[in-house]
Amino acid sequence: MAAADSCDGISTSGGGWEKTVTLVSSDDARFEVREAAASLSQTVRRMIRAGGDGGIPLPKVDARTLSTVLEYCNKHAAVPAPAPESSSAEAAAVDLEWFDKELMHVDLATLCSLIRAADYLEVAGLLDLTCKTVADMIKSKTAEEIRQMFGIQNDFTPEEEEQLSRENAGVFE
Amino acid sequence: LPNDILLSILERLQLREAVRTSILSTRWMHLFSIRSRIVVDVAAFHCKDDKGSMFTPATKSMSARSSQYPISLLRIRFHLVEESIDIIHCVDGTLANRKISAVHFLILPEQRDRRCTEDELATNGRHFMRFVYAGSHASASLSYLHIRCFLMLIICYIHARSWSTSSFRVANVGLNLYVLRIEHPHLTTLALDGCVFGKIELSWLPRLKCFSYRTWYLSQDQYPLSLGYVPQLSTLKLRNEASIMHKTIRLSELLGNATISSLDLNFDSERIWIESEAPKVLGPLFQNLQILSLQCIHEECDLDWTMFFLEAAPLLNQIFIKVWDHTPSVPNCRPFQLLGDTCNIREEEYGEWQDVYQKGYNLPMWEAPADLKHCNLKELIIKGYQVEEKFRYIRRLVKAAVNLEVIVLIHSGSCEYCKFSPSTRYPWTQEERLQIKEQILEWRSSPIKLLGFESLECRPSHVK
Repeated sequence: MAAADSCDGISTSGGGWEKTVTLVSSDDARFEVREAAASLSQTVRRMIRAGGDGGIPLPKVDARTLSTVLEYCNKHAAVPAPAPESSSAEAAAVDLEWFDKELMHVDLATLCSLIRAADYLEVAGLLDLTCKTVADMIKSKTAEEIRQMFGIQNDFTPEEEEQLSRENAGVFE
Repeated sequence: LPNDILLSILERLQLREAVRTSILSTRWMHLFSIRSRIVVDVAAFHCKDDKGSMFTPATKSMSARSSQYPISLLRIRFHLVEESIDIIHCVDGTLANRKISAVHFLILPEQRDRRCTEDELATNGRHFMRFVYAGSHASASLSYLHIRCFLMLIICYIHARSWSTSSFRVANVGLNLYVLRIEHPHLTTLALDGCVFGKIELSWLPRLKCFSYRTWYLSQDQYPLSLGYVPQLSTLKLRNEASIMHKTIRLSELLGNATISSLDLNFDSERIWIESEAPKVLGPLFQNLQILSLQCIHEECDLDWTMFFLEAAPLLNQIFIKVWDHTPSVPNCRPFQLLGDTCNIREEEYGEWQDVYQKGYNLPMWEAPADLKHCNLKELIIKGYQVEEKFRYIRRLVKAAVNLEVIVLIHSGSCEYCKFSPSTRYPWTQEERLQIKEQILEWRSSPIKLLGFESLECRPSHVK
């Protein structure tokens, strides 16, 4: 298998033998991760398939962001597929929800770097989670508040802005 | 943040909130107009003194904006009323001018808080058919159709996945005397949920993969469903709470030529409405069957008859059985029952229904040969397991399925409508569980994984 090259070691967790891979952040920090967790990233999964040695380089993600992404991957990959409709499935879902909520307790700048990382690494679940979090932040805020939050320059003339909000109000408010 | 990420954030906002972002700056205004997902819900336009009069103009203004960018999803939820024809025309126009990969229609009837009369149903049906014909582009690009009916409301959910102008049309989607005949070249998934048709004819659906049908009218002489040309059909789900007046179904006759890989039958705790059949008859139809779900089999019912599936389906890999016997007194719990039988039984006769509903009526019987061997069954899941003699059934399966790997035994849970939780004789003590484990191991020398017990360590307080 081509994947063998980038597999550095084998670790035991949960009683089973599991393959691990090493990921290298933009600032050269090395992270050893279970392959199952790392494979939640489609980008990493492709690189594992392609093979290579000395770890998988991820030049667009710094160590701080990568560690958060991996925290997410480890948690989400750890969940075994429980029997359908069983109460353990429900419990696991509640636990994950809490975990996700806790993970999103960060400032907007961190959140944005997480979004960029999730987008680059193609971790669909994390991208969805982070985008939802930002969307929730936008909700129930006035235009001016949103502009401040994102540092958006209002480049409309007062007349244009007036006309736009009047148009929107006519149809949507 | 780059545009595509901002767009995916915008897509997670409600329409009104998204509209508000369009006045932030010229960049955001542009982003708003090139959104690839447009979702409009009539419910968002209903307020106290306005019956959603701005809904149609809003929909028009949404889909009219910018024409050079493709739309990945256009999803509109609206009422099944005369005026909605404007929406259909509007979507049809958009479909003609813009590249749209998916269109979802969720159509709700006006009478949402009560059961509608048969006249109203017929009117709803006529409206729906008018929509289908008026929106020729929209209905032509369907690949997913979901019609749901709950307490006499019809929800039509039309999903068009592939937009192409290639040569096809909706032919003969006819609502005639409660028979729905469907022919469609692109439809891959079709779900009819508690609908009011007497019979569904899937005459020609070359791409159909998944079909589900819930609750049908009673009829003693005709099947609720006929499968015509459905060469790709792989998943079939049927659910009905049958009275003694419902025709017992012979799967070999119902399936026609379809060789499905997944079969899901739900009996809603009433009588078992299928017949057991010999492997010689069912074998050719079950040659691809891998997953079998038998749901809501009432507690009084023996399980031995289910062995005929095992005998007829050599590739069967997983069996899921849910034993459930809760016939709630809360009317909410039986909405589909009221619906299914309006043609013959009126509501005031509800009290007499007990005679019509006999759980044990015409119970299928099947005697599998004692030396039956099955090589492919790997997993047996029983929901609503009880410490009872009939679960010696597991013994039969364990002996026959020589390669069985996993048995999952789970508590039945509680009713999704009234939260009633039957006090089944699920093994709650460690002692009982150990006993079951030992017993199963006794029947078999090779290891079998027993799951389910670890998930519920302690007995819920309401179960005695």
